[in-house]
Amino acid sequence: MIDLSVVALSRAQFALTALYHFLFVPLTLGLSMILVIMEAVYVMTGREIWKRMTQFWGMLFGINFAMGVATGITMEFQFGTNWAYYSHYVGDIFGAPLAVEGLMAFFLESTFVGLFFFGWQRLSKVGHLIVTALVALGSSLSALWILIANAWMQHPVGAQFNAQTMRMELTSFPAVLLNPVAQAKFVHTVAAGYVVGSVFVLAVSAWYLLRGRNVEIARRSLAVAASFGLACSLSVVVLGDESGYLAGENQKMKVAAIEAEWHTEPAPAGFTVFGIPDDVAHETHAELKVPWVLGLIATRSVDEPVLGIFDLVARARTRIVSGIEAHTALTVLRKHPDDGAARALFEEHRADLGYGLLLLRYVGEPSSATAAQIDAAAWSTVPDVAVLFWCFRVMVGIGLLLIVLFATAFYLSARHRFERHRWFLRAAFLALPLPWIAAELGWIVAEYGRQPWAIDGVLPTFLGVSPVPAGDIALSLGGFVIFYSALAAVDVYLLTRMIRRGPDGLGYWPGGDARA
Amino acid sequence: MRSRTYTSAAAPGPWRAVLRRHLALLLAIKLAALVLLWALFFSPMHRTAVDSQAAGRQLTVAPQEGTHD
Repeated sequence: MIDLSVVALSRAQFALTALYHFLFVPLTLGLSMILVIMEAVYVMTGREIWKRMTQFWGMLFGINFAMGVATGITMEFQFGTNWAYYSHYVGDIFGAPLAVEGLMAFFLESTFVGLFFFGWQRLSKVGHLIVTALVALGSSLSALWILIANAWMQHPVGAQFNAQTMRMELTSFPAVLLNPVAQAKFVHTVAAGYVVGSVFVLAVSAWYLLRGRNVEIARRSLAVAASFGLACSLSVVVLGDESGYLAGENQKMKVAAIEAEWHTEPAPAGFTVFGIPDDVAHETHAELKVPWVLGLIATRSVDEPVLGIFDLVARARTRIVSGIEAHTALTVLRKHPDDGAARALFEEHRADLGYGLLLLRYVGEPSSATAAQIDAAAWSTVPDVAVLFWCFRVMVGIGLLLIVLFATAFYLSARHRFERHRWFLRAAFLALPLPWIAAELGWIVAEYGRQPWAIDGVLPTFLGVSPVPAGDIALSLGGFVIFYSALAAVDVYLLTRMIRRGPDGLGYWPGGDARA
Repeated sequence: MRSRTYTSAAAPGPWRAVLRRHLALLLAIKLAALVLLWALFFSPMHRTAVDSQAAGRQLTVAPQEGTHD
C-alpha cells in the first residue's frame, strides 16, 4: 500500500516515470548499434540484403524512437515542481549535465535519425554509414550525460556546500565529468542497452525461423545478435562488477543491504546466493553462502572486510553526532555570517552536515535530539534490505541466463544449425522480456539502494521535496500512468504489427526461401 | 546472387505512408498530452519558489508533519 504522503507520492511519481522511460531507452541504444554493424557489413561487402536488413530493423528502431522520444522530459518537469528544494540545493551541479545532454546529445541524435531515414538516396554508402554511427553515438552520449548527473547523486564529487546561498556549488567540473561512478555506470548501462537490442533482434529472428519466413534475413540477423549479444552480455557482467566494486568503496550501506550482510564477517566475506532477509529481526533466514566471493567482488582483496549493516549504522550514528555540530553552526551562521567560532565549527563538521539533516525527520532542532532519535536516524540509513537483495539476485540471474542464451545462439549460428534446434528458437523468442526486466531491476537496485539519500551523504530525500498538495501529485501521477501505459501499448502494437508483416510483407526482401 | 524483386526503400509503399501518418498522429497526441500535463500540474504557477532564505528555513527547521517519507 502506497503511503499517501507528499514525499512518498513524489518518489513514486519519479520512480514510475523513470522506469517507464527506461522501457524505450535501452532498445534505442541497442538497436542503433546493431544498425551500425549491419550497415557496415553492407558497405564492406556491397550485398543488398544487408542494406535491406538495416532498413527493416531501422524501421522498428524508428517506431520505438518516435514513441520513446521526450518521455524523459517529464522527469525534468518534476525537478522544478515536486523537487524544488532538491533543485535549489544541487541544481547548479545536477542541471549542468542535463543541459549539455539536451543541447548536444539529443539534438545530435534527433538530427541524424532524420538523415538516417531520409538519406538513403541522398548520401553515399559511407556517408550514410557515418550518419547511422552518429545516431548510435548520439544515443550513447545522451545516456552518458544523464548518467553523469545520476552518478553525482550516488557519489557527489567536485562540489561544496555554501552556507550563504544554502546550496551545493560546483568546484570542479572535470571531477563531476570524470566521476569514476559515472564512467562505470555509463558503460554498464549502455552495454545493458546493447543486450536489450540483441535479445530483441534474436527473439524476432527466432520467431521468423520458427515460421519459415524471412529465413535469409532472420539467419543473418540472428548471427549478428548472437555475436554482439554474447560480447555485450559478458561485458555487462564485467562492468557490473566494476560498479559493485565502486559501490563497495563509496556506498557501503548499499552493498551491505544488497548482500543482506547484517554483521561484518571475517575477510573475505561470503556471497549469499539464497536467503530470506528479515528487515524487522535484522537477520537473514535460510542463508546459503558461497565463501570468499563477496569479499573478492566488493574489495578485490582477501584481507579487507565488507562492513555489515550493524557496523555501518554505528558509523552513521557517529556521523550524525558530528552532523549535529555542523547543523548547529550552520544555524548560527545563518543569523551571524561573520561569527568566526561558528565558521570554524562548521568547517570542522561540514562533511557530516547531511547526517545531521537526517534528524529533521524526528526532531525540529537536531541539537536537542535524544539518543533514541539519533539511533532512529542512524537506522534510517538502511534501505529496504529484502527488496534490494531479491532485485539484485533476479537481475544477476537473468544476466547469466542471457549469457547462456547468446553462447548457445553463437554456437548454433557458427554451425548453421538453427533450424534443427527448434527448442532453442522457442527459448530465444520467450526470452524477449527478460533483458527489460533485468534493466528495470538494475535501476531499482541503484536508486532504491541510495535511500534515504537524494544525494548520498549530503541531502536526505525527504528534505528535497516541495510542499505541493498531495492531491495534485496523485492526479498527475495518474495522468503519467495513463500517458505512459498508452505509449508503451502503442509502441508494442506498432512493433508487433510491423514484425508480423515482416521484411517479406513490407517489400524489403522476398522471404521464405530456406535454401538461400 | 540471384535476381530479386523488392520494393525500393526510396519509393514509399502504401504501408510506409500509413505508418508515417500513424507516427505523425501519435507524436501530435503525445505532444498534446505532455503540454496538457505540464499546464495542469507543472507550469510555473505550480512551482514552489525556493531561494536561500526558503532553503535555510527548510534545512534548519523540521518540515511539517506528514511530509516525511
